[in-house]
Amino acid sequence: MIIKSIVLTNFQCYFGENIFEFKSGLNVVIGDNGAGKSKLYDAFYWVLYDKTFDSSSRTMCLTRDVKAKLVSDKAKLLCLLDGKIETSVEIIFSNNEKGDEYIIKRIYQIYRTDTGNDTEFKWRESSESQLFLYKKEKYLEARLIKNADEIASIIKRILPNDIQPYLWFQGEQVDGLIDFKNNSTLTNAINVLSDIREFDFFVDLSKRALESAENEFRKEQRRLIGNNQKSESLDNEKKKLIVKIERLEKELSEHRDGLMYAQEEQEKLHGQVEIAQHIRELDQEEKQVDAELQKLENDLKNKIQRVQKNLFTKFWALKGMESLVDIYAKKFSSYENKKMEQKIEQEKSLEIQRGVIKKLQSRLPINVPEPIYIQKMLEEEKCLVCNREAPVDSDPWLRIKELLEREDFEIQHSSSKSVIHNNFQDQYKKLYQEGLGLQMRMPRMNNEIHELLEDINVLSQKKKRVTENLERIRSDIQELINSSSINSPHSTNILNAFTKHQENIRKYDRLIQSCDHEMEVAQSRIEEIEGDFRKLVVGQLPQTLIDKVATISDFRTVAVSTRERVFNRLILKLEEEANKHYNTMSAENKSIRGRIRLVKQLNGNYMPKIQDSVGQELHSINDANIILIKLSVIMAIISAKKSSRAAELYPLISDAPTSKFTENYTVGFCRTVGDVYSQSIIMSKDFYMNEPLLNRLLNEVENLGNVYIIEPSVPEDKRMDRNDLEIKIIRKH
Amino acid sequence: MTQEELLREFLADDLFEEKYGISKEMANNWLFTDPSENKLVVAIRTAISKKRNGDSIETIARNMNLVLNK
Repeated sequence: MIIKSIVLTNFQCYFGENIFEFKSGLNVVIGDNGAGKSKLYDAFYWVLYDKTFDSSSRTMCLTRDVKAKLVSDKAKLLCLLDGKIETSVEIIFSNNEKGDEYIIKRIYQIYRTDTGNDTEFKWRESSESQLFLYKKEKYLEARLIKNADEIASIIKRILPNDIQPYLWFQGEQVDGLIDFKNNSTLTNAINVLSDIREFDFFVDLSKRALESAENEFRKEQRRLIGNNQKSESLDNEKKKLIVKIERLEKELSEHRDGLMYAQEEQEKLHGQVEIAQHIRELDQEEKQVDAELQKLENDLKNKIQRVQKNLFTKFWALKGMESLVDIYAKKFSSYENKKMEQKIEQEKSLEIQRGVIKKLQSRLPINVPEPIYIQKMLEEEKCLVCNREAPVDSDPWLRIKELLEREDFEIQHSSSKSVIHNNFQDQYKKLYQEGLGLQMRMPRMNNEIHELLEDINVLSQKKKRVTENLERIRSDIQELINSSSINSPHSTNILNAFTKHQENIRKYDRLIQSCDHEMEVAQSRIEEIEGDFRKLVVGQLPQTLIDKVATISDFRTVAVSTRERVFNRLILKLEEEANKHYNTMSAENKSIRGRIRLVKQLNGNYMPKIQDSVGQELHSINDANIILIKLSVIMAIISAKKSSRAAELYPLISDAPTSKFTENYTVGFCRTVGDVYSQSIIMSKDFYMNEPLLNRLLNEVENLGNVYIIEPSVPEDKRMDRNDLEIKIIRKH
Repeated sequence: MTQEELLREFLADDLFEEKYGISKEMANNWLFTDPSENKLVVAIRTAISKKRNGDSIETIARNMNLVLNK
């Protein structure tokens, strides 16, 4: 079935009657932004589904929700009083083989109700649109189909609902057709677009037929079993085991999903985990080195403090003063000598004095007689010892008086002795002795100072090395953070998540093994029960029944394995086709593109991945490439279809499918679409005002159908409203 | 897929070769209308043609059972 033409009348920006005719192959409608490309796509959609795209809500809206907004503003402006405007879109689908045609027309009407005096027009809007479907068989007049069921059935044949999203889409919808985050979307697309559903049907059928045959078999078996109690007990046990197996299958599926999720999440982190691990190691190393540096700084501080302390406690401050000690020793020696000489002098003087005293002591001892008696003797002028007269100033009187002066000499002598209290000799001597001690200690002090300074030097060197190492580590960390956008806390989160997923993988692995084992045990017990059943049978089961169950059981095996074989073959074919399309579309793009691989997931679904030449997955693919991969896979599903029914029967209609591509993808895309689909209608801006690209489309793309350029009658920058808007359609090919 | 292509896909299964001696080559040249005594072939052929008639799964399953009762 191909689309022969579409006629838009007063539909949105299309004022009056606008006709596009299409052929087999690639048809392209070229226009700038706002030229009416999306409205043309809307027109196709509206006819079949009574919906148009509402750009404000970004959803498809029913006619009853948009009503007069469907109608051309220019048509409204030109509408006379009490007039009516009919908006319609008519599409002619043609079955080339049979020559039949389906004409589908949707109409919507509004009526002008104002009196002409109002400031603005008023309208009575129909709440619903009307659909008319005509079938025109070869050589016969077109016949209006009135039966609603028949109309629905024909529309379903023209474009089945499940296939529609893969064949009629806007550029922005491509992303959702195969969602890289939802691994069932590709499987869904394969199921919808390929023949595999045919095999799914036979798998379901074989299951149903086998259940039916087994029921019949068991019924017959029960009829022939003698021991009903035993058979009932076995039957109950078997039923419980079947329930158990079903539960285990469900659990197994959940565990597989869990395992797959954990593996996918772990896989996502794979590129980051190495960096995160490196950052963590560097963080730990930084902490260690930092601690080492702190310790070194403390040690160094202590050593320096020891130096300062030893300056005074161990007289290191006097280091270099050895010559002063010698000078002092000389001076002290000189002082000592002088002191000695003075002492000798003093001794001599004292000796003399002592001689005098001794002389005096030879007549009378000092204080004998006591001075009070001497004084009395002087007053009485008489010696009280010998009782002789001693007149004043006589020789005896003077002698007596001399005894009193002897006392004064003693006082004088004593006073000369007190001068010794200001003698610093001891201190000088102590200093001298300490100087000597210092000199003795000097060699040891030198060693101590040398050792300590050596220690300080070693510590300083070490500190320098450790500081450099710390700076290097910090610089490495910063570099890693800058290049990977993973900071230290983030790296911890990544590693924690990675570990968590790893634990989950192990957990689900264990659970899967456990479920598998339990299922095996249950299955084996069911087989034993079946054996027990057979033993309980009295008599012979009909051979036809036994053969039938065996045959249908074989049918089940064949249906399941054929489905698997066909699907695996389809996957290989899809890969091949997808890569062919991918390579054609990206041929003019120089970026690395890798190879599309459809990778089986644990839950049985397939996901497209891009791998390099050694099978490593390529990450960080740009948006255009992602869209390209998705389009390649969708086209592959269609082109790989053995009978190509979808490609043959249903046209591709797409609005701006290449909107995310650069120019060097566009021609490749058109070539591929031209090859894959028997008919396609593409609305594109890429060729507008781009003569070289347009020429390439016209000259290089095979299977080219009609090419139109659409332009608004009034350029957008001169348009204040849409009242004058209509669309010019220029046929280029 | 045509009925014949479908039948050939099933006949290409290893079980046919191992259990019923239908080689891959024979399967590849099998015509849908080729007579066969093989009950499995008869059952599959019944299933295919009934499906093409638009019969439901239940109806086809019943039909297969009936065919195999003979």
